[in-house]
Amino acid sequence: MDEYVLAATMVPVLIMMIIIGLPVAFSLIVLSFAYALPIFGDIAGLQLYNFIDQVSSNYALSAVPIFVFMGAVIERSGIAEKLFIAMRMWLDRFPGGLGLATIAMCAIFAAGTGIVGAVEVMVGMMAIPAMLKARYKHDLISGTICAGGSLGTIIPPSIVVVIYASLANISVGALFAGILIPGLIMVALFMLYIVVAARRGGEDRDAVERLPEVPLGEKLRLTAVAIVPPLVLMICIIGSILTGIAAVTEAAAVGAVGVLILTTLYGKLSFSLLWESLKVTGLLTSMILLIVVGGTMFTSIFVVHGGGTMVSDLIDWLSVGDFGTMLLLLGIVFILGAVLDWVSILIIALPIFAPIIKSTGIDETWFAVLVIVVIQTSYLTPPMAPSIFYLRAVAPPEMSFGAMYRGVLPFIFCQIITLVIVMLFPQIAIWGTSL
Amino acid sequence: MVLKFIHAVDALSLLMFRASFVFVLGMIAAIGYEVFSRYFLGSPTVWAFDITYMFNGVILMFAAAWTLSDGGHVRVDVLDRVMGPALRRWIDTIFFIAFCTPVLSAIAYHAVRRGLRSFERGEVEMVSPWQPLIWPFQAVLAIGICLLALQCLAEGLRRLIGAETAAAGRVEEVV
Repeated sequence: MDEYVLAATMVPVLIMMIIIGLPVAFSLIVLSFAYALPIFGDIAGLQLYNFIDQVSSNYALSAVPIFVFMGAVIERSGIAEKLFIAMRMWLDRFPGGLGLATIAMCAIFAAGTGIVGAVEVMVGMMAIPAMLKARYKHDLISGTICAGGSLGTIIPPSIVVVIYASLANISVGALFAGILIPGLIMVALFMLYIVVAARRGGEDRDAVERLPEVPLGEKLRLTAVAIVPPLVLMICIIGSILTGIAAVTEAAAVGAVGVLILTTLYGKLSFSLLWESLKVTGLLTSMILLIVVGGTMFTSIFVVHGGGTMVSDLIDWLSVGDFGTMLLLLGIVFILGAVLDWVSILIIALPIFAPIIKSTGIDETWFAVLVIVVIQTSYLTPPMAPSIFYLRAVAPPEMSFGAMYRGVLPFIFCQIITLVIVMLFPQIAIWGTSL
Repeated sequence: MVLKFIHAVDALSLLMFRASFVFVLGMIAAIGYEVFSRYFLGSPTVWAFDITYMFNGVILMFAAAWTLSDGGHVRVDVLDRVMGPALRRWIDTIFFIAFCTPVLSAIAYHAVRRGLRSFERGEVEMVSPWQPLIWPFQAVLAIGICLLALQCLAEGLRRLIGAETAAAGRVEEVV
């Protein structure tokens, strides 16, 4: 194993740098440079420059700023408030109606933004006070908000999918198709659980916050104004990607224009809305893409040092079979998810995992869908759950961490069921590859 | 003196950051026009593909430095409380000044050389039917990487003189 000495130290050193709190992107770049020096010497800098050039000129990645911009505009457009009221109007009569409305709103929102943190904070600010008034138990409230917020990765179009597909060299459209059904299954399971929990906990009887009954005409009018436009827009974006009418980047741009028009119709378009949205776009895009730059450097240098063969030798030596290998890799993704954000996980894990998966004959798109579900689960799983940190930021102080941890558990169980369903029925994840 | 340098770098990064806004809107407009042209005018443009990825590169390069100054690059903060602010400050100071600045400077050196070579030879992008000149895009990369190197130095210095929390240490963003 002597020839692998350098490669074997790369990942532990990186994890150490990240744990002590150095910015992920810069850790990747600095570390790559250090490990490039022994091989490339003077031209190490030139090698790394080529990776920056490569990422900067990647057409598929251009969808990232547009989706971020679209999400930022939606967040400020007043679409959410209208959507929440309209959803409550329809779902109020069911047990846990408020929770259902929250999940439904998150699902449509997730389609619009594809970023998790922002959605959760915004939805939380709207739904928590309403649920508290309706005397929902704290654990159900926190579970609902965290689970709803996590949908951003699994409901297409999501930025995770764009990054994954461009890194692993698989079709973005096929991967969007792949996560569609698992995403819907997950939303259905979340809602089912909320109904059951609310019925058991009596949240439906205590619903003092129930809205006054609205006449049908008014209901339809509100639906036409608040639910139909965003829904149609999202269906158009996803549909044009799946049917191949438009490239992902094009669908994103057309979607962004659509969102701007909708915002204008709602009377919310202003200079400060645009300015704030552009600020978010610059910050998030450069954050995500700089990690992609660093990750591309890191994995390439890792492979140059023999890291790829080291990992596949290790897998051979373990000899756990195709399915075992897949479970092992998914397990690693889950553990990485406890410390790292999703971009960093994909960046580090994918280029190393992709060749292994290729060599096993496991369908790459199927594996990709499973990875995305696992990433979403790790977003929700304590102790290091980003979803809970975001919730903490908007939750009232009397809501304890204990209630939050208890609250997310049933939703994690729903995600595991989804994962198992996708494992048992690969067709629901790979139907898009033949489109 | 040091503080002046930090402020100057911050101001420059903020300016470039705001310049990136134009490219976000420009990219959406370019793709929008391409789709319109393809479906309604019956002919795709030759330039939209190149403009799209180039503008994306511009957004990354122009925005990254201010994002660093703004603390927007992802880091894990679980150990912050254990380490305390003093140790945190020293680790970051050393990381930015001794590691990030030299590495990014080395990359920037090659970026500038590469851009100059393309400029002198008038190289064009061969894989594209539009065949644009390469140097403007490479100039953007060179500017972005130089700026990032400068910002790393500024971040290190900011922590070294302990100005990262003081109001004096930050150019506050005026919207």
